[in-house]
Amino acid sequence: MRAALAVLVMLAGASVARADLPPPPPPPPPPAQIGFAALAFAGFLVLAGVWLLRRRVKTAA
Amino acid sequence: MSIAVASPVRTAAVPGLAFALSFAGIAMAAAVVSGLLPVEFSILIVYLFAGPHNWMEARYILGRLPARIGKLHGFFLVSAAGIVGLAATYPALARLNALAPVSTLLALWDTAFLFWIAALVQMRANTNPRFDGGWVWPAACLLTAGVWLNPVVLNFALVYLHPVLALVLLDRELSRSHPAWRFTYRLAVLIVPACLGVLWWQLANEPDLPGSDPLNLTFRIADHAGARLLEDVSTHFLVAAHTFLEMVHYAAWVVLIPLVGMRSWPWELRTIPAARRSASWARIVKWLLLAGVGLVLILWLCFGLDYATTREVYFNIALLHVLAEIPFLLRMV
Repeated sequence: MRAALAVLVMLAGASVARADLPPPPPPPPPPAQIGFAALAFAGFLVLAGVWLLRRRVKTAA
Repeated sequence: MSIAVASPVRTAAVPGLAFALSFAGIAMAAAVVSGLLPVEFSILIVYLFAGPHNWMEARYILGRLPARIGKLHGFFLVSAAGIVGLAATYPALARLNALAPVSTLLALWDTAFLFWIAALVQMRANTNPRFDGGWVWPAACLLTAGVWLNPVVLNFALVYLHPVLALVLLDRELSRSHPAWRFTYRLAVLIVPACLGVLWWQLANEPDLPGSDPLNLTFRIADHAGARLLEDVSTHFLVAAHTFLEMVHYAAWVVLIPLVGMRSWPWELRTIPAARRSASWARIVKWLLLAGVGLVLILWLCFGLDYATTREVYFNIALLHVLAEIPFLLRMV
C-alpha cells in the first residue's frame, strides 16, 4: 500500500513538476499581447461609458 | 448652578470580544512563528491543515447549499463549468508551450478566469437581493488589459488573496449567525495588515533564505510565495508573509468558521439540505464525506512519504477549492 502510494506520488509529481506555477516572470510582453491589452482597454472605455449612460438614463427616468 | 450628570456606566460586555480576541491571538502567534521559522512553519501547517481545511470547507459548503437548485441552475452550471474547466487547464498550460508562449497561454487563462467571475457576478446581481452588476464588465475588461501586459501578476495576487477570502467568508457567516459580533471582529481583522507591516519592518532587509537549487524545498516554498516575481524582496519576508496568511486562513476554516457557523457536529447529516432530500441523497452525502476523510488520510500518508512532491501536487490541485470559494462567496453576498 505504502509502496503503491509512493509510486503514485512520484508519478503525479512528475506530471505536475513541469507545470510548476507561477511560471518565471516573462520578458516585456510581445506586440501581440500589447495589442490584446489595448483591445481590452478599449472594451473597458466603451463598456464603462455604456454603463454610466444607462445609469444616468435610469436615474433621470 | 450647574448639575453634573453622571453618564451611565456601560456594564454590558462588548459583543464577540472573546471571539475577536481569540482571532487576534491566533493571528499574532502565527505572525511571530512565521517570522522566526518561516520554512519550518510553512512545512508544518501545510502538512497538518491542508487536508482537514479542505474537508471542513467542503462540509461547510454542503451545509449551506440548497437541497434543490431550482431557478439557480444556470448559476450553478456556470460555476461548475468554470471550476472544473479552469482547474483542469491551469496545470496543463506549461505543457502547451508548443502552441504559444506560456505568458500568452497564462493571459488567456486569466482572461477566462476574469470573465467567468464577471458572468457569475452578473448572474448573482439578477437574483434577489438584486443589485446593479453592470460595472463588472468594464472592470473585467480593465483587469484583462492588465493581465495581457503582465500575466503573472494576477496568479501571484491569487496566492495572497485566497487566504484573505476566508476572512471575508467568516464576516459573511457572522452576519448570519452573530451579527452583533461583526464590528468587534472587523476591528480584530485589522491585526492582519498590522502583522504584515511588522513582518515587513523586521524582515524586509534580511538576507534571502538559503537554497537556490530548484529541487530544494526552501526554493520551491519561496517560489510559491512569489520569489521569482519580486526578485528584489527578501524571500525571508515573502515566505513569512505567505505562511502567516496561510495559517490565518487555516485557522479560519478549521476553527473559527465551524465555531460560529456549524449548527451540528460535522458528521451529523441532518443539517445538510441535500441529505434531507431522500435516503439515497443522504447515502451519497455520507459517502462523499467519508471519501473526503479518506483523501485527508491519504494526503497525510503521502506527505509522510514524500513531502516535497506531495506539496507540489497539492498546490496544483488546490486551485479547485480556490475557484469553488468564489461562486459560494457570491451567493452569500
